[in-house]
Amino acid sequence: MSIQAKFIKFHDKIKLGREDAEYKSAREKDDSILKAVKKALKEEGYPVIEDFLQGSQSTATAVKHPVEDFDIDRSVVIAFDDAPEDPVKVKKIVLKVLEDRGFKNAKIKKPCVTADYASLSLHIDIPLYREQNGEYELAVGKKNSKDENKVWSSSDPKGLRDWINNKNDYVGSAIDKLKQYKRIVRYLKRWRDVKFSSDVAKKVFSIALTVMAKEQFKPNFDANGKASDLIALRDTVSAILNGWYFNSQGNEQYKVSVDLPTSPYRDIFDGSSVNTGTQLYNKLTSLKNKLDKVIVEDDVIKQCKLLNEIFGDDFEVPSSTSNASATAKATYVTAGVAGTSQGA
Amino acid sequence: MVDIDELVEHLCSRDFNCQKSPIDLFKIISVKLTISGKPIELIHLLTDEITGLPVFSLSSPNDSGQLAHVSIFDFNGLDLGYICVNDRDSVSVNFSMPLLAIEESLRRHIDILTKGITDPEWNRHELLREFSSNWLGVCDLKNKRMLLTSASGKLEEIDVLRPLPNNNHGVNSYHLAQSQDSELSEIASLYWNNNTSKRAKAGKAIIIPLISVEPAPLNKEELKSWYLNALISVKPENKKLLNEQYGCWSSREYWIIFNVDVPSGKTWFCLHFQANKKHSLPLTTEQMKHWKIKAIPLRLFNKENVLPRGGANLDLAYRRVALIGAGSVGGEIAHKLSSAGIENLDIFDKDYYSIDNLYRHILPEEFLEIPKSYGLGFQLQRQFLWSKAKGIFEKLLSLRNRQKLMSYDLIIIAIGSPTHERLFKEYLIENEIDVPVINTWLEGFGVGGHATLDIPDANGCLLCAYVCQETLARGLNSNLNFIEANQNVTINLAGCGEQFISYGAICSAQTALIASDLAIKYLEEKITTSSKVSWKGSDYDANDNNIQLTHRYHQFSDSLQIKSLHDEDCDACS
Repeated sequence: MSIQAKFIKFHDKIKLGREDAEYKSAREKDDSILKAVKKALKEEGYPVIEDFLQGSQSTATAVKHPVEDFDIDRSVVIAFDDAPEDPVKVKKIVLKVLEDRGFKNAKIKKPCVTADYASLSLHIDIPLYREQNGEYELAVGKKNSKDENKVWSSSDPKGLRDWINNKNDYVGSAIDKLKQYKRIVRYLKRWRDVKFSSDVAKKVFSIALTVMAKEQFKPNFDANGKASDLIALRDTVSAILNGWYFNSQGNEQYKVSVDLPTSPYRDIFDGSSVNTGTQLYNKLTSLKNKLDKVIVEDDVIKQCKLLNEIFGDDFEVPSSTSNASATAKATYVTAGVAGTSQGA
Repeated sequence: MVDIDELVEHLCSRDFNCQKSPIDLFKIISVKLTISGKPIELIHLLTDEITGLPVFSLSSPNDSGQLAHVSIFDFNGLDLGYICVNDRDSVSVNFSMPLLAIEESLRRHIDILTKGITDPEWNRHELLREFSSNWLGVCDLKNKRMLLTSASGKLEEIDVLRPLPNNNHGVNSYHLAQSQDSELSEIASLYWNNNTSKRAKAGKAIIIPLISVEPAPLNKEELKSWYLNALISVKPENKKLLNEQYGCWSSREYWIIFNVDVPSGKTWFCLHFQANKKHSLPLTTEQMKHWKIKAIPLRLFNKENVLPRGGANLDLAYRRVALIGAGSVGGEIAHKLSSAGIENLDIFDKDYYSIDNLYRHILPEEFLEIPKSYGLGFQLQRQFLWSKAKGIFEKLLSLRNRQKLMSYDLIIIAIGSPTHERLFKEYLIENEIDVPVINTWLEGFGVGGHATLDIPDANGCLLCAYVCQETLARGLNSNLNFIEANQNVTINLAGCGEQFISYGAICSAQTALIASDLAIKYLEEKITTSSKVSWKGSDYDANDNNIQLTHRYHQFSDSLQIKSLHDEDCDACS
């Protein structure tokens, strides 16, 4: 069994997809809440014309957090012509739905309506948009904001998702390379959740790791097309460290800055502390050095031990090199049929 | 043309005794020299253009005795010796510097004459080694040639059948002497008309093995004495049979076909005897008085003679191979395996040959509407005359029969159906059928083709070529593929059921070549591990059709190279 197989096994363990069993309850709640939100908005004269997932669920980069909640970012769109002048008006309707359903901590934040599910590890964010001719505007404003702070703000909610999912720059097996990129993002997220204290980890934003990894991604496949996530991760981390995100503040202190690649192009780490930047820089450097050691190590078990130190216990250390992977036959589970180019 | 005076001056400056012909009309030079005290004269006729190694002929060749690599020919009533200076096509001649080319050629001619004159042992060895070529020098080339199908060369009396009337080419234009031990295919026999109902019987031929032989005679006048002398080298028991049995039959015509071992292998040659009245076979000087004797060209047609000349391997004759798929790739594979010497080839296919197949299949149109496998079996037996190839109207999945499969040394699957191929592989695993299998397929748009060799109990199997490189589980498409999965790679000209993958006969042939090469190397025991091989073509057509190619395609630079098939993440191998 190759070290790549160990990475895939690790990835299968940490990835959080809408179809995963662990997410089943969350998905059901999401569906149920969405139905209620649509009904309430419609009754108030604001029929929902579109809804879509945002965040890591929409880009297949979500990971299970070792201890914390699942997130759902469910965007809801109403028609431009139906939308009230005051964007908070529709946010209040959504808030009421959440409150009536017994959510904890339901509140209107500036960009969305947010709440925690009472009996599940589930956190939900619902941004609202109005749309006209493909142009989206986000409902901005809190419950008691001044009128000037309650605005429909031009936004590109799908642009970031499309940017992350873009594979046009990859030559050959582009889909496989995009998938490798997304695995790298998940590895980095899990590494963050394991290596940083809870407080700092929250400030090492997932979207920042996602953007840096995308901009610096170094795919790695051997000549036969087999992926090496280990080398791709090492090379990507190395490129991130050299990628002008870290500004030295002297005395080996750093500030980190990562711009969103789409509108509104703001710095994701705007207002971030030197401590966050320094910790991120140092821990990424340590990660890169450890990955170097893994790469030169021949023994798979020793490699797994080092990777276990990096990623935690979800990266399993096998008891022997004899084949732990020989899962039952025919474990191809992602497709019932695949189009083929084979002929004779 | 080089200036003759300039040439003479050049050769003289190189210490050759060179003169030009006193008659200006003939652009001829002569070079005189002495080898071991023997005066030698070489003649060169200048040519308008130097297109090969310049030729020097030996003047008065009979004066030099029988020399290896020298054959006598008549030039306007004059005997000259043609000197064979190895294969003239095997040298690249500097035609821009004709003086140097002629000088170098002269030296090579002198070298070979010197060797023959000064080293009698080498000279005799070479004369025997080239017996067959020298024999042609005394053959009557106007005579109809004799075609003999004999494998063993043992003493045997056989009928000689006349050529079919009005046949000036092909086997039917030969006299045919068919030995009892001939193993020609049934189809070949049909086309050769090798029976007396189709061809008239001309007489008897007797195959006589000799213990040894003297060099071929220099001229036709020596044939009688040479023949009687050759009879001394007949084994006593064979001589007894000749006297008491084979030679007793009276006839106006006899053919004697000798075979004997010479340094270059077994050589065969033929004498034709003709008399005005019927006589028994002449075995003495007295009996020879009734007969005219001619040497005639003999073409031996047996496996040992024909197969190695074409690069085939006699050892492959007894290996049993099943080929599943008689499409454009399978057809080419069948052809290449047969040409390599594989006789026992069973071809399985359930498709009929159609007009749509014509431009990428090796079968001609006469096989339209019949099963491709039958057509191939027939065609192969027709071309490869010892082939036992046969077509069977069955498909891969109906071959799931342990006993049947175990009877083969190798199974080759060329159907381009990953679903059926994987199903078949699982059957082999579940039933522990340890027959090696080659799977081969090509991809559309000329991007390439692949072959895998799965040897049971060796590292690597077909499923290694199906390890999904993303999930490392068993995949549905081969990881060798150059075209990404889930694209529309078919072309549809006439609606449902008429889709086809775009590729031409060249792609089929290329793919068949790598598969055949793998098969032959395995059967010859040159490959003992599970292997894979691919060829990569250009991406022009794929790009034109917006077809996405794989990482492997872009990285691949090992076309035709045989690599290990093993994938460490294959669950079946592990």
